[in-house]
Amino acid sequence: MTITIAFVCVVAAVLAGGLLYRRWDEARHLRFTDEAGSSAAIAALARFEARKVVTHPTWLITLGFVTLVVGVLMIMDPGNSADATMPATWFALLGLPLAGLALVVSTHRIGCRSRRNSTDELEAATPTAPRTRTGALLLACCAAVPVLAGAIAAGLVISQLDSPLTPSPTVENLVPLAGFLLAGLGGAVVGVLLSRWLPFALAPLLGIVAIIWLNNGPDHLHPRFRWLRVAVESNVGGRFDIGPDGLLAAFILGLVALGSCLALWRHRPGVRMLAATGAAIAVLVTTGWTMTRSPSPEQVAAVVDELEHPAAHQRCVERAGVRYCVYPGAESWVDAWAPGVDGVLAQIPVAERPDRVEVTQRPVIDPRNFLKEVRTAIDPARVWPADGRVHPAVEFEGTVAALEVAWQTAALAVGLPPSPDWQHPAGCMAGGQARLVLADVLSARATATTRRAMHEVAQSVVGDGRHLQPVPVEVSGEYDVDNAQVEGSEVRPGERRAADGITHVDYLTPLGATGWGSDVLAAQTLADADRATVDAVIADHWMELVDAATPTTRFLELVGVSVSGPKGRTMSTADPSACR
Amino acid sequence: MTATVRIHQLTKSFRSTKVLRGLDLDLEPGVTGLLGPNGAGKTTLLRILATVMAPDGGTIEVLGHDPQREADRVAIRRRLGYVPQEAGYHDDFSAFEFVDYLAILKEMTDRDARHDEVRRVLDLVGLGDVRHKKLRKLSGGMKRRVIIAQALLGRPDLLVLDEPTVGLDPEQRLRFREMISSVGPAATVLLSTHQTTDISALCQRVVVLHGGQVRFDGTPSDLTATATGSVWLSSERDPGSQVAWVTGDGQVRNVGAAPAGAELTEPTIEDAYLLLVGAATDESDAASTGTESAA
Repeated sequence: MTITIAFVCVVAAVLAGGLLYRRWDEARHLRFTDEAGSSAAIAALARFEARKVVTHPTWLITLGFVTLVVGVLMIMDPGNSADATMPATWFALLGLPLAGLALVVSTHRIGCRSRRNSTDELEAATPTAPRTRTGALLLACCAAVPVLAGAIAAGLVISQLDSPLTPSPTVENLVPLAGFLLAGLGGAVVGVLLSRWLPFALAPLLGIVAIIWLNNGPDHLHPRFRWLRVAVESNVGGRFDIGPDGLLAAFILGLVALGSCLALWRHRPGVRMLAATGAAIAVLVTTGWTMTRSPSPEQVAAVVDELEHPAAHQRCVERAGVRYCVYPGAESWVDAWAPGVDGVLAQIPVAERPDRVEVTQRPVIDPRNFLKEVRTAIDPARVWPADGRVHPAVEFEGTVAALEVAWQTAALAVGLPPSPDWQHPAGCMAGGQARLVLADVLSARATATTRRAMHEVAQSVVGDGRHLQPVPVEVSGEYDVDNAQVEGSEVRPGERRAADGITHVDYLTPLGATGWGSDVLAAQTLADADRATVDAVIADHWMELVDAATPTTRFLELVGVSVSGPKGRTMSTADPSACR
Repeated sequence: MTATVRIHQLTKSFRSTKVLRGLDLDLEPGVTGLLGPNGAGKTTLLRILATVMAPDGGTIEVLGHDPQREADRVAIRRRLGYVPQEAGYHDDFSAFEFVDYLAILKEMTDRDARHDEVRRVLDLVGLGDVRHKKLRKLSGGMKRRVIIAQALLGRPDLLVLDEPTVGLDPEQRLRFREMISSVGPAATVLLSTHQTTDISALCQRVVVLHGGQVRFDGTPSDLTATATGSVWLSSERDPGSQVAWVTGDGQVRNVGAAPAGAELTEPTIEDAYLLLVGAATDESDAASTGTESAA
């Protein structure tokens, strides 16, 4: 509720400030405020203004800056990142909001140019009404959308060329992007609105501060805060929320419409404007309420069923003897996962290969991602059973979690839990055990992508000096080593929890076992070693290597390589947190 | 000839200052010059004619429409070309873009036809070659010609020009005269200027405004004739002259009530204007002194 009040207060402040400013301004300056005029030229004027919007220096400089940053990211890491969609993600998460904010400035300056350049008298002597000029500028704001969409499309094409593993966009994936595009449009409309009510240079900056405050200030930690966010965050609510992404798009569209109406209210509003404003508010209230209302028992039951009985909702395909099951909309991710799974299995001696590999999507163990009602209704043990399956995280469908899936497959083969389960939400610790390093090596050598991903993890260990800290071999998440109570102490992902005993404060790894940073470096050394030699060691010493008692050093010794730097101790199976 | 503009008892005040005091004026097709000192009410009158300012009282009819009514104002604007006294520019626009933008505001919605028209008016003011240059790169005179060009869009029936030749060099002013001459006999042009030579050269009629009222309304030669016998040359400034200045040949040109035996010379329109404005100022001063005395 606080956010709603804050939003209304901001709007009221703009309108009241605008009225006061107008009174002050007109007492001091001769202004030409005749509202008479026609709307005959609105289409031609909108086309003219559209060119001005998309070529405005502020907007172009911002777009150029964003493109440069994304370009530099790609050049620095040309197709090497395990997360091939990272540039596009950066563009969407940082670039598009930034471009939207730049549009606040651009359209405000365009909207105020007749005052700034003293052409208002000249324009007042033309038959086109001021209301038409505002309307045309509002229409022109739409021109930013195809430009942004084009930039996103170009980014996706480049990502595809850069890494064939990047999945093709699906309708489900594109829906959140619509929110970003609408946010760009919203920024442009806010600029027009402010130009009509607060036509001075500082206003767009105040507008930007207000937008950032509304999006990050009051209530922003509330799980249902999404109603005033400009974009859907896929791991907040996500597919298990009752408000589909499309509803947020409609909500943002309502905000855009309301902003447009308020801009036009500056020009002697009539009945039609009143009706349009009412309609915009109705859209806002309806979609806002629909998104934030408590779910019905049926909706809760539906989500719970989807979580506890994924088999009834997922779509499955069989590939090379491996069964992949994903929620609708994520089918294309199988193409990204399959090479890693196949690559791991191909390295395992035939006799030692798992009888059956099943890859099934499920959420990471973080109930705060769900609605409160869903959180209390689910049986966590049924949602996250220790079923010995490979479980790519639902939350990672926006990235290519190739290394994670390959690693889980390898973990299954070497006798480690592929994924954490509700009884062991942080997984187990296999630091210093050869089988963990074997899983690392198998997954790293599975495909070129997983090799690069493992290289990234190894680089981060060296770069951050994390030799003696727990390091899960994943690149999608952001496990925060700074949560360690004491530098170098054995802190495991998910160890710290909030007072409710359920909500995890730390990021939770989707991997069933974690090793030391020194194990990652050992795995990287072995992955880089002569392949035939390593293959031979794996084939000849499989049983020894998968034994929990065999240390990492033994694997290195068998291959005949060594790793410098401190080494984490070998976890004994007697240790309560160690993998059995 | 039918009047295209009829003004009757027009009044306009800004706070306590009365700028127009019951002004009566009819305008017909042709070029009418508007002369008057600063503060005479010229710009206010032109703004009212251009429908960007509402009068306080009186009646006014422009091109058969009543600008007090909203729909009529729009109708007038469709047939109006206006050069404000202090027109600004969008520096980041090219000359073409700026005129094109105003052409759109003038409801020229057909792109090709509009662009042809924009090119025509820019050629007319001699800016065809620089039409794609940003306005910030043009000289002050060129920018003024851009403003004049936009006023010519669509061959308006009423051209209201408030000091259009400010900032133009002599050659450009000659071009301006040529341009105004080409507007056509059917158009009504009201030209406010301090350049009396422009009035002589261009206008069939001249109106002198002072103190918010019409002080003279006639042809330029009629105005000049009012100074016949009131301009004389002498070797020193005559104490009886209203205005006097040393000319290029070293003689003093006096304007005022000529003394007996003075060496009279042919008056110019400027002499007549100075004489008229000077006399009007004296009248105003006398009136205001009388008012103060009465108070």
